[in-house]
Amino acid sequence: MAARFVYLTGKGGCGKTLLAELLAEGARRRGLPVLRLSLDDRDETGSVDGEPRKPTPTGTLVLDRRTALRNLLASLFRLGFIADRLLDSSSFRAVAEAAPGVTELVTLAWIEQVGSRLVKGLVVVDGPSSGHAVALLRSPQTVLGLASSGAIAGAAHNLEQLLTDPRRFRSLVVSTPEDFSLNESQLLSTELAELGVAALPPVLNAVYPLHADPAQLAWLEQAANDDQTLVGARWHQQRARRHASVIEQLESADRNAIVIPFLFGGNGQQPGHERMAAAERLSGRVLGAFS
Amino acid sequence: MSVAAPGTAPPSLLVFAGEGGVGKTTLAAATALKASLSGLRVAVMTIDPAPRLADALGLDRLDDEPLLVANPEPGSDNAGSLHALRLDTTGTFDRMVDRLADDNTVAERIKANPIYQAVAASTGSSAPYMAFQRLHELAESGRWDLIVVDTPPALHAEELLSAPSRLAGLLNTRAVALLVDPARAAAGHGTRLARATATLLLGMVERVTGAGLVGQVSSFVADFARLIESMVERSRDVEAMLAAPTSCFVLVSRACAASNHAGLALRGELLGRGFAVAPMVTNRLTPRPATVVAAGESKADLPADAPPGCRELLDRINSELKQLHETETVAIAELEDASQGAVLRVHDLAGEAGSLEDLGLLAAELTELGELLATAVRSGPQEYSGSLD
Repeated sequence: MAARFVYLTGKGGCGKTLLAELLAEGARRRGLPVLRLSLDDRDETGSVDGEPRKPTPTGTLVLDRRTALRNLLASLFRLGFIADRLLDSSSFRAVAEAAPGVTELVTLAWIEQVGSRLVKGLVVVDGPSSGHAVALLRSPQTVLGLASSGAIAGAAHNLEQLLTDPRRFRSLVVSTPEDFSLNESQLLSTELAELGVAALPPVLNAVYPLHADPAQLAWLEQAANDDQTLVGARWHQQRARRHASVIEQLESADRNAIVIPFLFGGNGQQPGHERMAAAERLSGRVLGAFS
Repeated sequence: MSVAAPGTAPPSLLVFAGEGGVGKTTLAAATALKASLSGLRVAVMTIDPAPRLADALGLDRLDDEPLLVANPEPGSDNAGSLHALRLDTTGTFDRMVDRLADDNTVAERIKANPIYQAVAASTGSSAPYMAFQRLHELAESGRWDLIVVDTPPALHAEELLSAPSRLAGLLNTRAVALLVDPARAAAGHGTRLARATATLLLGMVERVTGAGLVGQVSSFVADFARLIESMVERSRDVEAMLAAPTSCFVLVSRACAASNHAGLALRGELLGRGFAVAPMVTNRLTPRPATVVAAGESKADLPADAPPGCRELLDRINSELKQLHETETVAIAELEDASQGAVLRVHDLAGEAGSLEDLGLLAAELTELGELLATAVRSGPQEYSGSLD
């Protein structure tokens, strides 16, 4: 069975990286081979190495653009030394950097190349945020629009096939339960669907837990007017109440959202109970939707 | 060349930068509103393709032309005003081509070239460059005392600032010279071996890209190369404008380790390039009263009218708030340590900013940011007299 790719995206700050970690942890605990791919060259949790010779302890690979470009060139020319010669040319590097769609295509080719070796496994791509996420997945079309023949068109065509194969590739759009974040993620989902990329259920992340029942909330809202020490609790529960109504709205529109609670302990490395439960839920829903 | 209209001083510039999701857009809008209330003529521009600025200002839409949002006190002595606009990358690029091209035919030919269209439409790479072009246009108009810019999420200063030099670098390369006029370029440079290698490489590239692309690239490059000198000159003006004492970058982050890391790195890069950077702003902190309780204890006894279970409820909520507060405190200390200075704290609103009134509430939160703004503006065109707070 071929590797399955999950491409996480969403508005900046929606918690993509945390969710990519949770998904990887959860899937690994289910016994699946997992690789997490980070496109952020500042990510220090993985190995900065274009080759997945052996997965790092965290099972994360970080994109190294130069190696990725070399790998793509080597596969296009089928001769490593030509790739090296081209990379030594400053002219070539300038063209590769500025030509539309090329940087994105190189990134996508790296994702495909590195991930495809993970037979039967799950490849968790910690993708870029909204605008860049669409540009990245559109790059095969951009490149095909400019170069309709030649080896690069062939490579673009192959990538296009991966992206539009729902058995192998799915997007996972993450949002926080606020109107502006949801608006943006709905726009994003539409754009990804237009590219032919199949979607997993939407994720609502960082949802505040509603602890108060209606009577307690009503009391808290009143009492906090006179008692400063209750203001924090009111803020917390009003936020939770807003989140709950956003989720109700989503569910009434027949959207099968995956709800992940806010982890108050922060993004610490200690796998607390809440974190494990969130990883369990996310990986279960994602793997279930894939099959 | 000065960017200001004849007879006027250049406007002050505040450039909000940082990674995605830290609340740049809303803070930029609130800062702009606050400045307009103090009597300045302010424009706020967003580059974000998402309609965040319009949402924050409670507007249905925003486009490339500055829209009057608020005239704080009509009929009063306050000359302040707030305009908002959203960058149209392709439109700004087209206008620049129109202005810089030798004639209409060339301009139309450039705009019809698929390479140009792809470059102009790619929000990823050309948006920051075009934003600064638009900023240049706004500054030249002489209509504003202060321009507040909300930039696209960026991890590196290079993403914000280097697009023109990248493009210029591309057009100045030998590969491009070869595309435009292979025979002359090959004859003009280097040894016979180097020429042969270059020609061979071009052949290889063509085999990979197909012949059509090379033809389109050379047509684009031939026309566009003549614009590049003016483009580079304009981008130098923009850089000078950003490096002037009336300009300041404002870096926004959230109180967590990852966000600190990204913000500090960007700060270092901007300082390294000689730009002024304001103290780091840490945004969306838990509201102040919440942390007061979180740091202390829950109250021992509750009023008699409290419904059953409130004791347990409050203990549970306060323990979560306490964890939140601890995370934030650690992150802020780390930020202060690493940036060797004060960190401006902005606390969360109860809800989202969705109207001018909401923004006004947030603006009122910006006590420290107001001082920063005052500093940036003080050296600007208008004598700064009022207090922002």
